[in-house]
Amino acid sequence: MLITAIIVEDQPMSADILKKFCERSGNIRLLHHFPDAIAAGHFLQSNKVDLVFLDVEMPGPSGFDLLDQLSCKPHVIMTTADTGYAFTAFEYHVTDYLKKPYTYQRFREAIEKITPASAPIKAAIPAEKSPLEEDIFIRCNGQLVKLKSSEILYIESMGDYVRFVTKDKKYITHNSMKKLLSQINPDIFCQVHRSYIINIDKLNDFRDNNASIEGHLVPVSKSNKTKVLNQIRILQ
Amino acid sequence: MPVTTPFTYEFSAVFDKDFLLEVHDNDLYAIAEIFDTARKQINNEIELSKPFADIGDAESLRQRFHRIKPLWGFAGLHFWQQHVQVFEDFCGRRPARENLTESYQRLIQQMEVGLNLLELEATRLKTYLQ
Repeated sequence: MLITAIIVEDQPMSADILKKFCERSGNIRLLHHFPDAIAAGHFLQSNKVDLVFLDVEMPGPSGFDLLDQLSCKPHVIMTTADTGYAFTAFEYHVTDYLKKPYTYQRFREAIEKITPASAPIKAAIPAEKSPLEEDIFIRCNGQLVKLKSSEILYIESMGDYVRFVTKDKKYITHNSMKKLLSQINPDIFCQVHRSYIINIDKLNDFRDNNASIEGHLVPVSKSNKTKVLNQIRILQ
Repeated sequence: MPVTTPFTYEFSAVFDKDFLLEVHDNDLYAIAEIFDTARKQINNEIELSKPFADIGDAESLRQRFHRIKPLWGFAGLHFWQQHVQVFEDFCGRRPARENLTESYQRLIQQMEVGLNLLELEATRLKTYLQ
């Protein structure tokens, strides 16, 4: 799917990096770059685009002023060096909010909210490894951290973030449960609750509505209980 | 695009190497260019900020430094971006003129240290790439 987009950004380097990211992604057709909201507003009155990359603070009207005057509703990804506008952005129902400087990976995550990823991370896993030896990379504090699937005890949802819990450490990364479920190996990981995915190999015991994972108690919802029972081998 | 082997070049520790390589797709030539561009744009914005510092216009200073802030980040110097953020927040509190001038002078000194780092790293990287 080709996404048509414009950039509204007064800072030349920020615009150049965004242009390079769009080119690198291969699925964004950049129509224009505007250094202010007025010029962008005029363009959007007579042109339809799928996506607007929008800075907030620019000379003249702000990015939010531009959104106020739009009759069409394209996807909007805000790009700003401040987190202070995040709540306002949320109220404008923007698709995502990129805080400068952002990585290409974070940019891709924002784009994938508009179009599903063509190649999930799982595709990069070498086929010859057994599922538990599979490496996955998560972005944590600006770094890519390698985890073996066998190290992960469970994954917990925290709104726009998820927490990977291992025996010794916890890693928080920007992701959603829905997206994560499409990327992790279903032979190893099983969703047991709206907010929890467990490593089925780490399950010690299972009683009532809780799964015990190496000393951690994880809630299991009624709707997921059967799924878990189907995934473990029970001797009758 | 030139093919480079980014992992043989040792960035100075102050630069966020992983971030730079990820953003610029391991292209050291692009990173060298970013160092130069960031330095030029930051210098330019600092020049433009001076008249506002002279008259104690905190809001115009805040706006100028808001433009400078991401340049440090994209050049892999996140610490300098944080410095600018602190100054921006300070300007937002509409400080007294003498406090503003003092804080501005301190920030400019800090910016000069960062600009020197950018220049040195750009020179070192370009020498490596020759």
